[in-house]
Amino acid sequence: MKTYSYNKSLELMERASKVIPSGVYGHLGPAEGCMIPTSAFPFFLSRAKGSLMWDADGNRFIDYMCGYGPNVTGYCDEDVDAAAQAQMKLGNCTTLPSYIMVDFAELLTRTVKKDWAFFAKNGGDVTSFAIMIARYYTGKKKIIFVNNYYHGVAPWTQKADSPGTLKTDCMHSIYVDWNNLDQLKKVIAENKDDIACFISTPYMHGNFTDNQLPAPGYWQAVRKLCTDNNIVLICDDIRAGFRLSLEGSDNYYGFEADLICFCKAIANGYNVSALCGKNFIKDAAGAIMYTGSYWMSAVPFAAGIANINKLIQNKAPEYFRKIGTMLTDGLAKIAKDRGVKLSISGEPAMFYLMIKDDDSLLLHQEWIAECVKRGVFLTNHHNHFVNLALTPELVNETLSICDEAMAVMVKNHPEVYR
Amino acid sequence: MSAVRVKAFVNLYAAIGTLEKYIELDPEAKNIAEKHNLVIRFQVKDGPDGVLVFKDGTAKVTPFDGKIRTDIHLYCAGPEKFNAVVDGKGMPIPLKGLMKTLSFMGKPESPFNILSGRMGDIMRGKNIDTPEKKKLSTLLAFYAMAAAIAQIGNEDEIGSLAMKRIPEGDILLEIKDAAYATITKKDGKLICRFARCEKPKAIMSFNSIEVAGDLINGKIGAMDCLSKGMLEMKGFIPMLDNLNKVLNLVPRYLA
Repeated sequence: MKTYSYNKSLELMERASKVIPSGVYGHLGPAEGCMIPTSAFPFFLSRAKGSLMWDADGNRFIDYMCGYGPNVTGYCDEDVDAAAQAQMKLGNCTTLPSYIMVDFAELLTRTVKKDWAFFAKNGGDVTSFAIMIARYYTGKKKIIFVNNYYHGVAPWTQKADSPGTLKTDCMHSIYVDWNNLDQLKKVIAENKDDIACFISTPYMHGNFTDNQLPAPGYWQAVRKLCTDNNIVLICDDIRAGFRLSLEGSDNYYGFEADLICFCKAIANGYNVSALCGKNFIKDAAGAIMYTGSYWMSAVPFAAGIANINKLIQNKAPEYFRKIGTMLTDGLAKIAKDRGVKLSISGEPAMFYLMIKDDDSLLLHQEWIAECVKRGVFLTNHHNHFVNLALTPELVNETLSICDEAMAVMVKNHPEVYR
Repeated sequence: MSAVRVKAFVNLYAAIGTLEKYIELDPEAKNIAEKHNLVIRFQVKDGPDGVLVFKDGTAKVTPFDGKIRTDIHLYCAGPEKFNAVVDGKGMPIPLKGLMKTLSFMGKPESPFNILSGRMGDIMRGKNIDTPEKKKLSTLLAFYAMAAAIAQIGNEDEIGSLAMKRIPEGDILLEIKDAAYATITKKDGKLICRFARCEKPKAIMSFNSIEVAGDLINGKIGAMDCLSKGMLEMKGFIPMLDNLNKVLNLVPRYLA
C-alpha cells in the first residue's frame, strides 16, 4: 500500500512556526501529541466528516482521536450542525443568555442525574471551578489527586517543576495511586481536617501505561471515605463522559459524585463544558464569582441539546462498546497472529494500545507511524475514541491497514520477531 | 541546594568535565595533555569533591572515591570560592602538591589554564574562524549540556523534582553521526557519560551539528525543530519530558 507524504502540512508548519508558538501548541501539536516520528504525521486538516478526516495534502484518514474526544456523533453531524445554525440566526453571544440555556441545563441534569449545571467553555474551566467550590464549601485546602491524572493545565494541576508553575501552586497537592485504598486512607489520616476534595477520572486513562478500570468496590469505598471525612468527591468525566454512559460515569461505575465535570462529548465539538452537582453544594457554586465572555453563548447550548438527544436516541454508549469491541478484538487477533505482544486496556469506547515487546516503546511508535502513513490516525500514547459515525466497514478497513502496518514493523525487527 | 552550590557541581563535572572531549577532539589540546599524567582533586566544602585525571593524553572528571592516589589536592572553603576559581577570580588552597600545582596551573601560561582557557573560548564562540572550530564549539557545548543535565537533576531543587520522575534506564542524547552522550538514571541519581549506550530507553536526536548548534545557542526553538523533523524524540517519552524540564534549567548554570 502506498504511504502518505505531507508536503503541504510541512509548508504550513513552516509558516505557522513563525507566527504561532510551537507552530501547533498543546495536545494537537507534534510534541505533546507524541507524533513520533513527526514525518509520519500530518499537522493540518482541510476537512472532516463522520469518522473521516482529510489533511492539507488531501490524504484521507480514519480518525480514532475524534478531536481528542469532542466528536461523538461524528464530524459535521447534520443534526447537531442544523441546530447550531438555527440558533446562530437567533443570536449567540448576547447581553442576556438565551432561554435555551435553561432547556440545556434541564436536559443535562435529567440525563446525568444531578441537580444543577454550570456552563463554561473548556474542561479546565470546570475542574478549576470544582476545586474552588470544594475549598469554599469545606473551608479546607488540600486536593487529593490520583497519579497519572490530567485535569487541565491550570497551575493547581501542575507539578512544581513545570515551566510557569510556582512551588506554592502545588503545596496543597497530595498524590495517591489508582485503586489504592490503603494509600487513600493513609493520606486522609495524615491530613485530617485539611482535605477539601478528591478529584479523579472514573477510571485511570492516563498515558504511557495500561489503563485501569476500578477494582470491585473501589469507588464505593472512596465514596464512603469522602463522606465520612467531609471531602468533596469530584469526578472528572471530561474524557469519558457520554461514552461509557449517558448518565455520567459515576452512575456507570455505581457511585455518586458530588461534582462531575463534562466537556468533550457534550456538544459534538461545539465549545461548551459543564460542571454538574448535587443540591447540597449548589449555594457554594452560586456564591463564587466565576464567569467568562463566551460561557453563556447560545449556539453551543443548541448544539449540546441536539447532540445529547441524538446520543440518547441512538443508545450511543451501547454502540460505542460494540464497535470498540469489534475493533479491539480485531487488533488483538492481528497482533496474536503476528506474534506481537499488544496490550489493549481501558474501556472499548476509549481503548488504549501499547506494544510491550520492548520497554522503550520504540516498536509501538514504529507501528503507529506505519498505521498513520497508511490512513489510520492513531496516537502513540493516549487513549483513543470512537464515535457514532464509525461503521463496521470502516473498522474492517482499519484492521486491514493496521495488519499491514504491523507486518512492516515486524519485518523491520528480525532481532525481536524471529 | 543553593544555586551557588549547584553551579559548583556544574562547574566541576560539566565545565571542567568537558575537558575530556576537548582533549579527545582537538589535537593541540591532546598534545598538551599527553605530557602530563596527574590526578588533581578538587575538594569543595559543602560542594563537589572530585578528581580530574590526566592520563596518557586523556582527561576525565569523576567523583573522588577516597582510594585514588592524588598528585594535587586543592581545597575550596565553599562553592562560592570554587566558582570564583573556575571564573579565574580566585585561588584554591593547595593541600598537596604545591610545586606541581604551581607548574601545572599556577600561571596563565600553565598547561591547565591554557587548556581550560582555550576550551572556554571555543565554547563561548570566541575566535571561531574555521568550520572545524565551529563544529568543535558545538560538540563541546553539547557535551557540557549533557553533563550539566545530570548535575542539575541531582542537585537543583526544582531539577530534582523532575529527575525523581525519570524512570531508571538509559537516555541517549545524540547529534547524528557526530556525538553521543548517555544519561543514566540509576539508584535515584543521574549519571552522564560521553558515549553511546546499547539499548536506550529514550532518544533525543539532533539531525545535524548545525541544528544542535543553533538550538543550544537559542537561535531556533526546540518545538520548531521537532515539527520540522530536525530534532527527534522517541522511546519512553516521560523520560524525555522530565529530562527537558532539567534541560530548561541549564542556561541558569552554564553560561
